[in-house]
Amino acid sequence: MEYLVEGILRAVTLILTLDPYVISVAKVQIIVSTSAVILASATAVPIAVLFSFRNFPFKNFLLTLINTGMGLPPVVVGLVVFVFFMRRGPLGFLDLVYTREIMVIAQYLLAFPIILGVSIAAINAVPKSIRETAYTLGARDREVALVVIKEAAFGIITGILAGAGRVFAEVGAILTVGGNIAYDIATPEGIIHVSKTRTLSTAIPLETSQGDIAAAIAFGLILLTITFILNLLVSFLRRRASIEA
Amino acid sequence: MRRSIVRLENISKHFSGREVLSRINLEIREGELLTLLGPSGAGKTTLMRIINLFTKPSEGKLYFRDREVTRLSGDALLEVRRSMVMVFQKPVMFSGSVFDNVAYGLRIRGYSRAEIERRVKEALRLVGLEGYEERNARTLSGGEAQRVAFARAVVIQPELLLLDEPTTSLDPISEARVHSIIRKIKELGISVVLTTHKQHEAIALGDRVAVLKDGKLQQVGTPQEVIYTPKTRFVAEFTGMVNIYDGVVEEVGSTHCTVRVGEVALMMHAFEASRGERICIGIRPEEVMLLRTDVPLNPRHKNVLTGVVSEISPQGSAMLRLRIASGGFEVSADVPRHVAEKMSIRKGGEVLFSLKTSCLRRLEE
Repeated sequence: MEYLVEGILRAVTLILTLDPYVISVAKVQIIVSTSAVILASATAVPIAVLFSFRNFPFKNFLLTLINTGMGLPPVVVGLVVFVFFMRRGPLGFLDLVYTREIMVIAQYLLAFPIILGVSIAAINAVPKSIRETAYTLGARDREVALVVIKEAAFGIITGILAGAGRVFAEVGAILTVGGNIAYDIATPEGIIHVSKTRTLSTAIPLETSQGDIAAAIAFGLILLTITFILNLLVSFLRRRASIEA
Repeated sequence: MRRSIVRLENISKHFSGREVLSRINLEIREGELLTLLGPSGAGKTTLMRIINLFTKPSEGKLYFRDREVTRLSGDALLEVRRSMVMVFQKPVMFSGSVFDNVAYGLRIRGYSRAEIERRVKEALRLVGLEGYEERNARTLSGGEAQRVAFARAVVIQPELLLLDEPTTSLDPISEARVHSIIRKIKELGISVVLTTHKQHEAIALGDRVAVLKDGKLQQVGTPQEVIYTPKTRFVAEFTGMVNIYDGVVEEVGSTHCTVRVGEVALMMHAFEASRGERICIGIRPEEVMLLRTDVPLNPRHKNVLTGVVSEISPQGSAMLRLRIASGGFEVSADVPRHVAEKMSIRKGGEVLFSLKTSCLRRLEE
């Protein structure tokens, strides 16, 4: 038990003293995952509106694909992205393997179907009469869509948070495409470890296997805090949404 | 004659093979309140949705201010749409405040903040909800939400306001309040089309009444015309003409015709028919005239019959409805309570009554 208490104490110290390595790992995670969620939201929400407002061929088939996408194993997504971007792959010329950019791409693919699927459900749940009221009051299509998005806002934000929850928690995709790389730099205070593509979730198994339990616990605590805040937001919005309804 | 705002020309609408509207010709005139009366399923809402350009008709043409709008799109469509607004049977509120709801139509039209505030205030006063601006629209009662929906529509100052069954789910007191709001809206010069299945409402509010049944217009006319000269058996029944008979034309004269209903021959004002033709005739219950038996019969009374009162039931608060049997011929007559008392009318008693020639009307099937 002693090692556990010691590990937790050392982990807290690492966080509170803003240990450069821990901070750099957390930063990479936050930059990569937040970028992926922002990009996925910016594309998924407009597409969700199109899905609910327009009819087109294979719509139901596409919906099934989206629902499948919501449950894709992250490591498989990582593999597919890797295959596309590896040196010999069709997008190999972009030279993105083991960069933060490719990690954003992989996480984007994980977040996108969730945000899209939940947003479509939220927009479809807005009563048709809301659309018709906006329409009869003289709204253009774009203005009707805005009204509907506003009415579905809680659901859409819940979808975005669910997407965020997924990308912050996954290991497989960013590990496969990002490579979990950190490097050493020399500073006047000595050599420090800095993350290039190492994130909280990929650092934990590595540090654990290398026996640095304290660092692993520190990463775990930060990750836990982030997911806890995300879930707090989701449940808060759920409550608000049910009060509204 | 007032200018027309909307004109429907041979409008038909099919939904998957079923004909919901059939060759509707109708004109809505500037400043008038037209009530669209019909039972549920008659096609009233579909007609409103066609006028509001929600739905395209399967056949026929729709004109707005003498311009064909049936197949408009883009900005031209938007311009026409923005001249009219519909209030649905069950209005929904956008999330946000009452102010946000009422201001919506003005905001998307790009009005200034000051103008929006002024107009919203005015609209809320019109519907008796002044001071409700900051209330959460989702916490309003059904009646309040309905009035906000009225304000939200009127604030735009549309040329045409479409009200789809605005009182169907209201209690009589709320209904009366909505009626008074509708009258105020009409005074603003806004033309109104209102659908209803209540004949009393159609008649009380409408400058003209259009009666719709099974997607077909039965009659369009003033309340007076629809009540007293219904064209079809349906209109007659729907507007309370309870005495309707099948008869055979017996004599066709230049001033009068005679129609036989069972054992009774009734004299009517002349109409075009041939002898032996089977027709349908009717008379409203309040037009059946009870005659005094203690004075000599005036010869100008025609169709005078004696009968026995078989049933007495209250009709509203001040009237009684008598069911009178004259042999095989039966008729319902509405008389004021005090008259019935003065004439000491009682169940089983004998009465003398007359069916005025001018009140008997021929009805189309």
